[in-house]
Amino acid sequence: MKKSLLILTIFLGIAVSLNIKNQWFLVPAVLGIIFLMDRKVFRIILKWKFLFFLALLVLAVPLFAGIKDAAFYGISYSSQMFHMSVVMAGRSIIILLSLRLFTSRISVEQLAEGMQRIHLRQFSQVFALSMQTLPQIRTIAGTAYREYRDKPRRKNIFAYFFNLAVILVVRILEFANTLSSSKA
Amino acid sequence: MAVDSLGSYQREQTEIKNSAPREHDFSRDTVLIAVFGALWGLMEATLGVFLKGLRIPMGGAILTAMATIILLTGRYYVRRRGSVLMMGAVAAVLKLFSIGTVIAGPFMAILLEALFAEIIISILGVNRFSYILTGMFLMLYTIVHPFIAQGLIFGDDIYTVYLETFRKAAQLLKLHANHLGLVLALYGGIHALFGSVAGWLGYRLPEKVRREMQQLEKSAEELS
Repeated sequence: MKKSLLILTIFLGIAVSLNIKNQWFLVPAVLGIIFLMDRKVFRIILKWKFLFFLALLVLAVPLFAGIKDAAFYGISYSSQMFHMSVVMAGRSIIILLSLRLFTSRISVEQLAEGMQRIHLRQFSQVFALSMQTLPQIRTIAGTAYREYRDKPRRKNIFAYFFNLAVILVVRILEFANTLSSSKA
Repeated sequence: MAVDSLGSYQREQTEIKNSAPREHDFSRDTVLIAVFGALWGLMEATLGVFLKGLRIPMGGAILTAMATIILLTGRYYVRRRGSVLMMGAVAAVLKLFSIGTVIAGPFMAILLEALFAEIIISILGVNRFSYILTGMFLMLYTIVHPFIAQGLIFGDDIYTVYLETFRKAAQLLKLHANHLGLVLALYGGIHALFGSVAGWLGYRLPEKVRREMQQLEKSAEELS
């Protein structure tokens, strides 16, 4: 986990320090390293929503926003906005890829272990207990909902759901009391 | 009427003080944090997926409102600093377990919600005002969150792009900045109202639960 965190920190540092001059060699270098490490992480940036946003940012924004001081085949655009958009696109790609690389290299268990170390005292105890109680909580919630669903429904839907929440919390508290007395 | 309400308020405060867990009562606190954290995580894993699948408008706000009610109810019973943060950490890790992999977005969103709620309640204490304020803040944060996230991913320049784009669009549509302000105020107002209702419910729910439990105890005594 430490190695993954170090890699993430380095890549995030590079992303933050990107500018119009250094991006031309830093972005390809980082992309190359990430590709060699795990090419599957590139799936995160191949989503149409993200690609559409990037296209809008790099192609449309310089055409409509900023002072138009340059032309490409007769189409005038803002060079300042274009450069700004390219840097932003490079930065976003590096950040998303490095975050995905980090999360793909650590397991949920490692993350739970890591949370114990960041001043969350008794986290392992609480988390183990919550994992233990989860099936019962699910059963309590399911049973309360099914019982309440079969009752004649009132006109006021908010009152209906509020009463369901009251029953649910009462049962959960009873369960917690039973559990704490058995643990004591 | 006023005297009666004052009397009931004092009674309520005394009951709250008496029912508040004592310093040494860690095992009950631990169980309650685990149970409410599990409930929050379960809600995020089931209702969260359901709402996302349906793609209903303001689905994220509904989820935040539900989470607010759960965390505030949990905090009512666990009078310990850091308890909301712990419930949030449990819920966030449970959510990741339900997905089966580590995804930064929902994990950070749950942790941030818990952190903000923890800060507000730790400063203002457990009372109706702090609960309503927490609900309002969390719901308003759902509007700001995407902009903060985009600022982190794309950098500060994204705000320049947004402002420039808005300026151009406003020129084309002959709109004034006041119009955008009005729309934002209306949208924020709806969220704030929704959040204050969630906060109020978060305070009302444990009170109703207490009465319900008292009734249950009374009927159990009568039966025995």
